[in-house]
Amino acid sequence: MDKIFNLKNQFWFSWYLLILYYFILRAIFGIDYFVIYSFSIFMIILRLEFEKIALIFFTISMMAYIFATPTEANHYMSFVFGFLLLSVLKHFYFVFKENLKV
Amino acid sequence: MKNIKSILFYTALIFGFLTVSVLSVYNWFSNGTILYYWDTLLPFSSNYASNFPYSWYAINFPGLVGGGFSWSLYILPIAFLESLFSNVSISQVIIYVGLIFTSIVNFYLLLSYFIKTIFNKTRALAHFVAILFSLMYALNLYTFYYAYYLFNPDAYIIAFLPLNMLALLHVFPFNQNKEIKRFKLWLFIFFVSLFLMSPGFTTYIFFIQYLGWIFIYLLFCLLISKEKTNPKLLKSFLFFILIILVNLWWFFPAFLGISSSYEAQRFTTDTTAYIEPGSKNSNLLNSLRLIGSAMMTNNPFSWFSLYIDRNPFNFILFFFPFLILFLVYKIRNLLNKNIVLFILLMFLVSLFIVKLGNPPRADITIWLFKHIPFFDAFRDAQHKAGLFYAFSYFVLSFAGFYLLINYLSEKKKKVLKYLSFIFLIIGFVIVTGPFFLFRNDNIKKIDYEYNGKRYLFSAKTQIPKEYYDLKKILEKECTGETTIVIPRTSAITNAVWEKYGTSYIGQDVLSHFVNCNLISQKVGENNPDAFTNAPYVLLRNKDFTSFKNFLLQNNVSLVLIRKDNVPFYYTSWFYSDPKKTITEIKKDPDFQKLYENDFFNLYKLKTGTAKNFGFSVAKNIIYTNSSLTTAIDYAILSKTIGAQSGNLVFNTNDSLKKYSKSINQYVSIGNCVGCVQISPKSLLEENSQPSALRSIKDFLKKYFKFLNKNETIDTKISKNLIYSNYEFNKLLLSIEDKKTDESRRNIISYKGYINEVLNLLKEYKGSFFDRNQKLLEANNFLTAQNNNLVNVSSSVKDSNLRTLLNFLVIFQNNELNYVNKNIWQTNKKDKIYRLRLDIAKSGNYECNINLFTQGVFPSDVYLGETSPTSINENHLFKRGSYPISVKYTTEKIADFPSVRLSSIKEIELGNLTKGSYTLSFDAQDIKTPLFIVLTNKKININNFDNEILQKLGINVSYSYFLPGQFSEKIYKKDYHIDPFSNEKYFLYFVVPNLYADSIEDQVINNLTIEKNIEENDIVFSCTITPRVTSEEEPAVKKINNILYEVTLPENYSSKFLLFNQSFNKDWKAYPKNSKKPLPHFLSGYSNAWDISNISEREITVVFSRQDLIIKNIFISAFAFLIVLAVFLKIKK
Repeated sequence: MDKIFNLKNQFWFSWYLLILYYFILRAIFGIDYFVIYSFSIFMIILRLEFEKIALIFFTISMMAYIFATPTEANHYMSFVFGFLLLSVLKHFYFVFKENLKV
Repeated sequence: MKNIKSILFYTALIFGFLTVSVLSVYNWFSNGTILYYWDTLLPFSSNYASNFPYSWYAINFPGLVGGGFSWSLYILPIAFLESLFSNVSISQVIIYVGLIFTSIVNFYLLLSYFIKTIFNKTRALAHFVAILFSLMYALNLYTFYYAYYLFNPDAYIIAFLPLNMLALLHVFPFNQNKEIKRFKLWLFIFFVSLFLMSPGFTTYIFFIQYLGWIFIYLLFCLLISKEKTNPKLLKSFLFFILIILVNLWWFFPAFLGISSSYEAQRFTTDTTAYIEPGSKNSNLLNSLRLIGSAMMTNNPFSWFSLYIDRNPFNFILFFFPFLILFLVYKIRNLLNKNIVLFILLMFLVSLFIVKLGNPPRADITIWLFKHIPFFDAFRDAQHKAGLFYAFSYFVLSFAGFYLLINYLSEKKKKVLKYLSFIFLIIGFVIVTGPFFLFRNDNIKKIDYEYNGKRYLFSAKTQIPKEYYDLKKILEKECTGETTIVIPRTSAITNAVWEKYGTSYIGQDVLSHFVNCNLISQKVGENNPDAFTNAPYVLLRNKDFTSFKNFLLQNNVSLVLIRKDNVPFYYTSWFYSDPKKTITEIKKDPDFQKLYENDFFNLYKLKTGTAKNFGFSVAKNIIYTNSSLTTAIDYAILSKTIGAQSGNLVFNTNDSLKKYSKSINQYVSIGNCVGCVQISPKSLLEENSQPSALRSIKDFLKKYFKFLNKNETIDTKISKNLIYSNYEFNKLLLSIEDKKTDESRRNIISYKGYINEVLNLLKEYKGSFFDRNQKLLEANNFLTAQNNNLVNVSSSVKDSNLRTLLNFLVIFQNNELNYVNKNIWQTNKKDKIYRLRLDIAKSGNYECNINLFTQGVFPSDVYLGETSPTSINENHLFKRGSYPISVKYTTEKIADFPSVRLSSIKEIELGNLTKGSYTLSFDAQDIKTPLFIVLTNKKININNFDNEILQKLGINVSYSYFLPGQFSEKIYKKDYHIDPFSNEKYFLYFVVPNLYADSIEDQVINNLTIEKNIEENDIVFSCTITPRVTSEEEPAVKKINNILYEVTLPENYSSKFLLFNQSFNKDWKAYPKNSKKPLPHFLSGYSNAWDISNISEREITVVFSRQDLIIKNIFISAFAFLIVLAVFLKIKK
């Protein structure tokens, strides 16, 4: 398991390559929620931080906005919102957890 | 030296902020102009402000409850400045500049606090960045649209929220290890800034949000507190109570009037109607850049496309959400991340509401709108949730930018650092663009064409001197009188002052300017508005005599004609032509001209009564069966009264029983039978499945027989119809799910209920009208179900099921045949208008037909259902209900034997009046689809699509024709039109481009447009001519808007005192030396009191709510001081 969790530190799983992988998947499977959700789950399994995933989706969204359509970009922005929310909830959890310990 | 430097720095800073504030709005007020548009509320005289503290607004006749105390901090200072400078422009500019300056300074103070508390190191650079963000917070797309360009007191919240939050962070700090310095000072600042925000809280949803965020903040502090829980909990609780108490002075009166004001502001009963799923304007891409506000969408500013469209110009704005993401990414580097977490939560929740019907999870928003009471107050969410969104947006993006610069400095990435600064500067220019970059063209203008002439309504305007001249004359005359203004306005109005090159469109200037009782603007309450619309309906009906009688009946003695108004879709309501009214008034010797200038004519009705502030004793006591909810109801009632004043009107059965001995006039108005057609869609949807309560009741009744009361046949019929509809909806669902067996079962049970209905109808022995009512009910349900089934069955592929459904359609048709044979209702085919006349008292009645539409010509009136007998004007009626039939003919406004089709065919229809029209033509020869468009404007056929979408003030009805769509050979369609003045109408047949080549030689045969009849087009009424007593009027002394002293005439014989302001239960009348109020009841829309049992002649009439409101101010202030003392003691 540790091996899987440490994959995120490897070059092949750096954020810019992940973005590239997504666009390759998009080229193969098309614009589909199945692809976006799978990609999200994959990043969660890699134990990428939620805020980092949000930034990755933000970059994808910007690229889609420039090179594809605003509608598609807006879909990715929904994931930015979602991961941002998860990140904030995570931080709240740790704040409260820390407090409970005391 | 350091002190001198910092003094110089802060002086320069304040001077700079002030200069920016002045420059940002200078263009709006240069040359002594004001900014006035749509909902802007601007008192134009101190009179308006002096009326403001009263909980009853009497300026707009017939008055309404006032609850906007929180606006005092806006209304009173602006009125004070106006009286100080005698100039509206200067007072408005001071308010604008003051608020913008305060916003910048307060946000800068907040950011300075952030720099100290959340970052590891601070640099001078941080203050420069804080200045830029403070300017952006005060002057951005949100504040431009929602706070300043049409002024909204939300600007007070924008200005003081940062200071309030700063004070909160000092009073309840997250970092509790530190000692709180200057606690009392910050506590004082907190409550003062909260008080100063109160004008913005009139939009109650801002107050609710504010309370919500304070609650979450205190809860968060409590949960992470290392102190003992109980004292901390008590402290937080007391602090929250203090916040409520400090707002109670304005919230309590607002709360008393909240339900009526909420209903008045709600435009639909469907709370989700405000949600536009997938709206481009508020999607995340736009919301995250603060663009796409609802008000941008209909704004013709030249730079509109730069913000809303996909454009490199606005792409740079994505830098700000990136900064927020970066902040979250680096949140661990902050000294105090709790503050940021709280503001992040505010940002995310607000953004979720701002995006409204857009992904992600719009279904949650829809659920909240549907199920949480008052949640639909978030309509136009960009505005309503945007206030806290914009606040958190700039706080977070500032923190993000500062972290980014620190990060890039540490990593020594100079290029990226400079690039970030360039992005920030460009972003700054774009965000503040509406105030600076586009300052030469940031004034709202509406270019409008009416009767071939172009008009321009501009938000930058100046009130002409003619208004001031009128004010002097009118205020001398109007004390104690009511003034009717012609033409009437809707919630807003307009004026074009060509000789000065100025104009306005917005709230009625007159009612904010002249201290008189004006019938001009709608008050937003249905019954009073229906009453004040009646004289305009009479004028529109060209019935000047009845109009004059209406004025005499209601002691409306002044008539003000406005000549500067242009009929316009949004501002005209029950429009009547001022020129025609002037012509009629000139002919009548009872009207005396008091004053005339270029924009106004003022007349006095000579026979008007003394100045009695709307009080009179009742001379004529009327009972009518009319519901008195529409202007036509009041107009008809008025026509039966004549010129008599002092009319008390009862219209409920209870009052009929209670006061039958006093009633001396009975007015019976016939109600049309079969005119109101219930929409099949709503009938089916509203009765689609039993409510939870109904299901439980039915379940219990099944097992506990004693619960089943003996039901009458009419109840059984109604119940079976509703049950049949449940089964019918189940059938539709099973068809949709392609469950054939289930569909069969549903068909059987549905037929069972319908058969039961038919059997019950056959054995029903109720009165003629009761039985007819049941037949109408059955007809409505069966027709709706039949239409629906015909539509559904054509798409069913399973042949067996389709056969079954076809049999079901035949079954329904047979049942409908029986119903239609026995039903008695208006027959549009044979042109017989049928109505039910309820007579409350036997007697010899005088009957009349009145028309409230043009193009309908009644010929004969008959009494009876089976063998009708003709009746003339006088008829002896006994108490009971009578079936009346009116035969009529209608006018054909267009009749063309053949019309040759072209790609767009235009037919001019001339001036049409309000009502329904039937368009028909032979359908069998037309081979191409057609769009049929009916408009009140001539459209340029070369630019048809654009003009129809963009032309302002256009009223369009659409429909379409598809060849083979109708089994009938004749296409028929009803159009309801409602012209705002007497404008011309045009009919267009548009052939879709695809079929443009195949229209050669195609003609539309036998095209006709004929007037169609609707409810209230023909009004049949009967009345017993009254014996009216003559009485002297009471003497009245007005103390203020809510307090009057009435002295009844000597030897008065009347039993009732009347007061013509809108009815409200808080109006109370006390005889002198008595604390027991007189019996109070509704007379039409207004107030009446029973004075038959009093011995005194002096009566005090008071709006009792005011007393309660004053007491509340003192009690809440006292309670605040006590709770504050306890709070401070605990703190020690």
